[in-house]
Amino acid sequence: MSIIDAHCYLGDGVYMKRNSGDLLDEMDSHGVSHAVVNSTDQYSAVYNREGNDEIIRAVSEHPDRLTGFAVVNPWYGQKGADELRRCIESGLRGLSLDTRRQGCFFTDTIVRRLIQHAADLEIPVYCHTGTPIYALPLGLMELALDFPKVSFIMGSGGWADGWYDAGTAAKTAPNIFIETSYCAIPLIANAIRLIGAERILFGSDAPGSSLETELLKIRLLDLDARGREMILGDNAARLIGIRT
Amino acid sequence: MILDGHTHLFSQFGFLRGMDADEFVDKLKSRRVDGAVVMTLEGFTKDDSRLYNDQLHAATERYPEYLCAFGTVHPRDGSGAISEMRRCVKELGMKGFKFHPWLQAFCASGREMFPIVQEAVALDVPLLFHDGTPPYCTSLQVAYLARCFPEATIILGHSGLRDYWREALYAAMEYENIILQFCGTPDIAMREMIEQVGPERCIFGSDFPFPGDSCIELAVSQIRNLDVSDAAKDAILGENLKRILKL
Repeated sequence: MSIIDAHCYLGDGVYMKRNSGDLLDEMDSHGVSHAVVNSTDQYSAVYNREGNDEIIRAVSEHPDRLTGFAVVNPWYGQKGADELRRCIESGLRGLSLDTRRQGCFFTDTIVRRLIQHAADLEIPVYCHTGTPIYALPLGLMELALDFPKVSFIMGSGGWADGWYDAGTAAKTAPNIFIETSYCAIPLIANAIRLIGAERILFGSDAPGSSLETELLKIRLLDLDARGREMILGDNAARLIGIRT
Repeated sequence: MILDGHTHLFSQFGFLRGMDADEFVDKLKSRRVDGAVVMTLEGFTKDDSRLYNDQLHAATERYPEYLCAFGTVHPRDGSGAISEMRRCVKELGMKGFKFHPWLQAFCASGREMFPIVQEAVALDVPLLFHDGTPPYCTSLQVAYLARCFPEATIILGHSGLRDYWREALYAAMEYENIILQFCGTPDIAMREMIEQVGPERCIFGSDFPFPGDSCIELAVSQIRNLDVSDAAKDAILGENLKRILKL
């Protein structure tokens, strides 16, 4: 079975540091065939282009192992929309939002304008969730309901401070997928009950969490073989268009 | 030796089914845990903490070699809270107190906590807080008590969780009476905390059974997989807690 890590970080962040050599080594030692990467920290908040360039370089060097998402701060407006288009034309496959670092609500006009561009480009959108005030599941739910054709990945399923609304949001908006990093095992089980395994994606958020910890969680989950395959790779392959 | 410094014994909490003390201890033992601190969960949302402290006491009476208890009180109960703290320690043999400010609906840094912390100092027991959740128990709200009462031992029960771990790390660097509990704490946070604060002020907890019965495997494996010495891992998994609780 091919395992896809649907969300982790790459680059020289102030706090989150990871180069592509280390990333590929970690993937190899855990049997992970493919990883979806984006930049974070200062590249998320301010230096979008520099961070995206590093991701574009990494995925072009390892196209069979890595898929990249573009990071754009919604406050950049049209400049950000242009950066998103540049990234997609350079081979990145989705948009990654971290409103916790970028300082805007999912329902803000600046976010909605950027999402309209993502809709036009027909790309999925990863959204960090779980952090008040800016990154909670019900905000994402409202955004997802307004953009029914865009697939939204609810990063970390609302963990640590929005998990009680994660299932509700994903059940209400059928275009929300839940990514599992940090989520406690019973919460993943609850999400499977509510929306089915086909909308759950395995992700590590490494180097914040780790492949070791996050894969162990999926192993400990009470789940049939088919569900496990879907969560560990098939769903991400289908949603993001990864060939493994 | 593995001592689990963060477990909850309860019968029912929302959609969570709890268990009785026998099942609880069986499950911990089957996962090679050598002893545990038990705390309430239901008791955080009910008025009468006495009732839940008595339940914990019954469990520790049944398994005196294996379990010790951290009681709870409601800080706004004033003198009633203080007398219950005395009963818990002097009559029921409890080893500390647990507070869950967002469930108990009080602010960790509020004035009503001051007499509680003073009493804990007098009773010579630590105070363990849920931390990492705004607006009542961010890591710095809890750390403020450590700042005001340097003689108190204050345990950050989750070391900031996902979003406040850098605050928790900062607090532990500022205030030496803070203990960092690795319980739902991200891997990156554990690594930074051990490196910067040192393993001697880090302790292990699983939150069993809230994150599922298998949370112990997961939590232990997080510690075992850290790139630190075996001595540091042993200290975190049990020896530090034994020292802090004078077991």
